[in-house]
Amino acid sequence: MPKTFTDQELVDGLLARDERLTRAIVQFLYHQCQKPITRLVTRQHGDEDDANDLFQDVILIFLQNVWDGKYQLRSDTKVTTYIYGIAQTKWLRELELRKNRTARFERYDREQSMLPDTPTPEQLYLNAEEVESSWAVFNQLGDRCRELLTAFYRDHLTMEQIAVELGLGTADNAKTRKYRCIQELKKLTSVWNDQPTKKPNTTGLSAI
Amino acid sequence: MERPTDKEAEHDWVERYLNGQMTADERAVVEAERQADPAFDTDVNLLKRTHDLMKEAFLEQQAIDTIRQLQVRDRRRTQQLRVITRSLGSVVALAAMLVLYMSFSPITVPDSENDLSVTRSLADDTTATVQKRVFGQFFDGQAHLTEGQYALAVKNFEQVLTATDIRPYFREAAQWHLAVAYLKSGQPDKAERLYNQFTSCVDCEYSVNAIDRWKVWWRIKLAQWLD
Repeated sequence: MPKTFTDQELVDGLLARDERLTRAIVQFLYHQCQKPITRLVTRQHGDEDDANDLFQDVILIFLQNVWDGKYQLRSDTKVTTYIYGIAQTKWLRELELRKNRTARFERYDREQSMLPDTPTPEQLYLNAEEVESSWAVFNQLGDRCRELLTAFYRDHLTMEQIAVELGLGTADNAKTRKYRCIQELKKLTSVWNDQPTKKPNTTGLSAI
Repeated sequence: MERPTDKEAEHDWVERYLNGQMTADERAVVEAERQADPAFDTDVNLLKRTHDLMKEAFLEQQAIDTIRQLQVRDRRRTQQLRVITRSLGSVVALAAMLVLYMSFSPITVPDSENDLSVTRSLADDTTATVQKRVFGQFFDGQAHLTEGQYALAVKNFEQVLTATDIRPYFREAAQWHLAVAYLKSGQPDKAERLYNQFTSCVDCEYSVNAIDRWKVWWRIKLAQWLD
């Protein structure tokens, strides 16, 4: 059985940004919320794969909302209720998008026209949604930068090890590369923070 | 240490500050720089936020991996459960078919007792008359069994068994038929008494195959249970 948490412990645990604690919290939330969310989706025109994808998205949104301070504990709403609410809203939106897509495809079929190369409003909306998490922002970096920053900041490899693993020659080369990558990520962070819906959280830096 | 002039070195300097790797004196220098240079302060804050974002990204990646592992595990479990349920369903269906077969398929006992040579003393006219009467009863019993007149069949076979001078083979045949007749006429306890005589029999001549024996046993138990 996974460890259990009170709502307060969940929020505090996530704000600590600790790997083991976050994993335990995610496991707890999975056991609490996966089945209701699967039922929600499968009863409303979705299948198990849709439910799994939705659950992943919903957990990411919840984590991000906690970290961004968008989620505030309330005595009348449990965390699991809040998560279920996100799932409901997101799934209804997904159904609406699918409906619109189907209608549009049918219209194009009737007119025998090609799909436009420019993204549709729904695609733009989905793309905008995709960058709602830190993970999505980080993934906007190129593969090499992602690998390098992950190796240094998450796996705590030395510059010498990174130079060897990523084939960058010397440790100095790796260091310069790392500097450029972090500058690139700073730009992305800055753009993300400037989004009107975003409330940057500049407090409580934990050592990386 | 003074604030480095080289940008890359300055970045390392700030990271050491953010990671808490500086002495109090060094921290004081950075703090002073932040006070004096708003652009530098903004840059430090942005790097802080970038570090947080990276940390969150790693945690989100880990969260997705954890969820996927759990989903794969649960999917496997569901599939295993489906296989087990289907297997159990098959076993239950087979058991039900077996019960139906044992309960309703006809019981067959061999017909070879129709051979007149199984009786004794056919040469003796007096005895032969008795034997023929016994035979007559036996065949009447068989006919009554076939026609569903089980009470009459019981009577016929009971009379057959009152005769003393009949071969063991023919006696056993009559006993088996009587057991079936008892069973069909709703007297499972009597049928069981006859049936039990054969379970311990080592030199029986009249051979009833195992499946038909099981059928008789099963129907006796079923009838006793339904009583």
